[in-house]
Amino acid sequence: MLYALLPLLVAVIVYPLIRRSRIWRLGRPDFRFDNPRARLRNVVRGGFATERVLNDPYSGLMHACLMSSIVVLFLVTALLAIDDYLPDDEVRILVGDRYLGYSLVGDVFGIVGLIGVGMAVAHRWVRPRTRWELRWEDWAILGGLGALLITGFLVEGLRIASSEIHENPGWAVWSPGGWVVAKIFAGLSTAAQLDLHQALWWFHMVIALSWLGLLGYTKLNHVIAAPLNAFLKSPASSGKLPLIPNIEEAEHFGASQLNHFSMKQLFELDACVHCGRCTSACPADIAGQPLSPMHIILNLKDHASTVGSRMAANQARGAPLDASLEGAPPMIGGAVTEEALWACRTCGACVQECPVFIEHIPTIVDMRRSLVMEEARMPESVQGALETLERQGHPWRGTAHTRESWMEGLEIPSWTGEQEYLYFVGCTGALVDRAQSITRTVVTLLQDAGVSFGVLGLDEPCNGDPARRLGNEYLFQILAQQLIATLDEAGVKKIVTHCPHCFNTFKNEYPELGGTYEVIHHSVLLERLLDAGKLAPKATAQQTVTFHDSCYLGRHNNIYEAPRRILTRIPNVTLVEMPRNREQGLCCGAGGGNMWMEEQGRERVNEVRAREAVDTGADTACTACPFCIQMFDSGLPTVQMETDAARQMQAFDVAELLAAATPADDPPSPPKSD
Amino acid sequence: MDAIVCVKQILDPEMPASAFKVDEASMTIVTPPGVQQVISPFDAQAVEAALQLRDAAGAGTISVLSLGPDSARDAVKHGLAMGADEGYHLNDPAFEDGDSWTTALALSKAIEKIGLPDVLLFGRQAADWDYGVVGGMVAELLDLPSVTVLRSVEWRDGKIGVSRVVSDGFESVSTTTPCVLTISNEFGDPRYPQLRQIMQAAKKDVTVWTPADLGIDPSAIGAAGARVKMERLFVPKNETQVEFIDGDSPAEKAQALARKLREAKII
Repeated sequence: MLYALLPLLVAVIVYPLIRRSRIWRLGRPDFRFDNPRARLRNVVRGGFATERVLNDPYSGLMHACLMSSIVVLFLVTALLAIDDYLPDDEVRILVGDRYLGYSLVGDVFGIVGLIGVGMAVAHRWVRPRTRWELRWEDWAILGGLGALLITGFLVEGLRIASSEIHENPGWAVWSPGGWVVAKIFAGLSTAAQLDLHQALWWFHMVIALSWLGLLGYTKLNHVIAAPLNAFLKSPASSGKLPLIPNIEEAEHFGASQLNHFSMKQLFELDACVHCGRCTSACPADIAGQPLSPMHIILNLKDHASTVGSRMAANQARGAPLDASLEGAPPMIGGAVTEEALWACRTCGACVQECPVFIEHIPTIVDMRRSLVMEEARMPESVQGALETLERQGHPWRGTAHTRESWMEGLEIPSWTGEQEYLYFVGCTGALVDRAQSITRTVVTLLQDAGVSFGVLGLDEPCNGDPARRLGNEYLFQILAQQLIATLDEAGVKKIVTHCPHCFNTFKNEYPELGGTYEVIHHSVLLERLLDAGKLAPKATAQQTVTFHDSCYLGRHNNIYEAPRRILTRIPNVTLVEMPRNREQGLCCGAGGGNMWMEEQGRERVNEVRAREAVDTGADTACTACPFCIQMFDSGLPTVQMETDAARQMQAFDVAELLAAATPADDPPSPPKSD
Repeated sequence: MDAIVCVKQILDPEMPASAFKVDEASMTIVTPPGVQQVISPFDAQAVEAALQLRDAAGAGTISVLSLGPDSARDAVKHGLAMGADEGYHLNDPAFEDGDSWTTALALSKAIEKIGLPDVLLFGRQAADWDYGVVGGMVAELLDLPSVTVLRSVEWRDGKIGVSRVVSDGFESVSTTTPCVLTISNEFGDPRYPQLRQIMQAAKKDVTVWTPADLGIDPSAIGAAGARVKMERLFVPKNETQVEFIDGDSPAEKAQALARKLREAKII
């Protein structure tokens, strides 16, 4: 009789998903079946093995308890149901020793589940995390599961109390949970035990089915959505932004309303379990600035529930999507604030942390694209950077330098087409005082090591990275296509750069536009030169160095160790780590075009990060990015003023520390500052 | 409210000063590699002013007019991308190497050919040579009132109210139309063109006129008609010398310094 309810249950689960899928289908088709092997690996490791959930020990253990308990008990229940239908004792499974083992497994995982529920409740009630959101669904799911497990033990205990305890008292150890309950109810008459058993059994069943029914209406849907989203996740680097193909023909630029997103972007909103890991890792939020990646996703999800469902209804009856939507809050400016969109560093910490594989960056940048290209509405400083990019081919408005200023006093080989590497200096490396000394150092090291390289000098333009992060995809594509033409004509095959942002764009974003080069970051090349014995650092003064990971080198491109190994090979250098390092590294604050923006909020991100560096007790902060260096240079003095530190920490590029220990015949003279 | 905005294309004034070079022999400015020609910033602000006036008036046609070589077409396109409706380009070898007077003459003829609008807008000066006289000359040639160096403009149903930048504050003035207005940097930033408008502007035709189209005698314009002749073009040398003042005590050093300054007639 009970099983007749199963179709109803399926309907209760499937119906809301179908309703919801109408909202997903508002989006642009985005079917992702390329690279199936990598995608399936993500499903297995991220979806089923919950790799990322386990990154946080407490909630990892909690989730493991809950998940294993639910899976095992589901199988246990299913096995019991099958067994019930088997005709006679000879083919039945759950008899004898097999039954005892089955009973033990069920009991143990019931207890494990209760531990999980207890941990989850404690997590929410006793020791709540700061950056997450509790909604009614959290309590419905946990309360339902708790009630399910407790009634399960009660039913088992009453059954044992009425029969097993008398017939097979030796079986106690095989049903530890049930046995405890049986002892409690031992005083009741057998008839009362049986009545109560019957009533609770029904109650247990009702809870079980209702709880499963939550699947379609609450974040419990993550059991389906998380593995699916792991499959849909881009197998490319998180540093690669999606291309707008045929931009000249595009009907809209970026996303100002839900249907401008892709189906995948809309689907993943519903995968969010509002655990807050993204926001806890977000540099903007850590500095008290107006961005919480979780709330971007949640607010868009709520916007999809209200405005999106009306758009879906319009679509279903063939009406214009925005029919009768007057007065509905806009997506940008309503569901999501412009300040939040501009505060994003595109550092990828949120993407890295998300246990259900939401990719926040493309969604945020899509909304920036709409603001910049569709509405031409952006902070003044962003407009200044973009205009300078358009006119001068670099984002450094007001620079007093040309692209060859840094060469003064050095013999720099121009690119001839004969050399092995093109050294792509980058706008920052050429036009910013502090970064020029990095450029000069890199050149000197390459020359010392006998590397064959040349530079483009005045012919080197920006490769478009800042335009793309700031949302001007059109400008990015123009700059990229021009540069690809220049590079191809010049016969460039290998590019070395000391800028992780240039590196990322060349490596991950240019191939899609037809520019395929072997791109190498200077830290990797320098390490190779050390390996080959072409550079031999000598002992210098004892110094303790802490290494700061640039987001576009580390998280987006997985280069964490090369710069560290360079440091450990410099004699007398001791490497110490900040608490947030490597995958968990905190952005310097400059990413996503924030180098050119004014920060709003409690404090500046670079000061937060500089404080973390100072707190290690190291003498020197080292990084491998000309933006990070500038952020440290402006953050360190402020922090050291407040801590009244006697020692003055300074920030250097890894190449500068290596060069300082590698005396050349002709050491580079310090650049002039104005 | 119809308006014509006259714009000039100049060498990007934000290029690094160290990149600026002149060829003294030919008395020309050398365009350094990688430095672009852009719309003069004051002129972009004049386009912005025209767009704001039209928004206030509710309707109207805004035309952008430029005199210059082939590349000046981009300056007109920039105005179109910002939201102007029509573009005109005076492009002919005969227009080249003129002075403010020949430019004003050619522009005034073109304005008459387009049809006199309610408002003629100019930047307060071109950001390359900084003469700041073409607007006034056009007003004179067309016999129009002109109000210069404006920080704000206001459409008052056929009249124009403006605020002028003067040395010790601001001056509020109103004028009848048609009139000539020149816009100062205090007006505020020009808008960033929307991508769709950039693309539409790219497709729009720019009307090109030669002296013959305007009925001007080529000898009256360009190098032939210029009344100002350049005598020499050079970058003045800016030399700094440092001298340390010696002395056994601070008092002696101060005396020596004072003497030096007196000799140099600084004090």
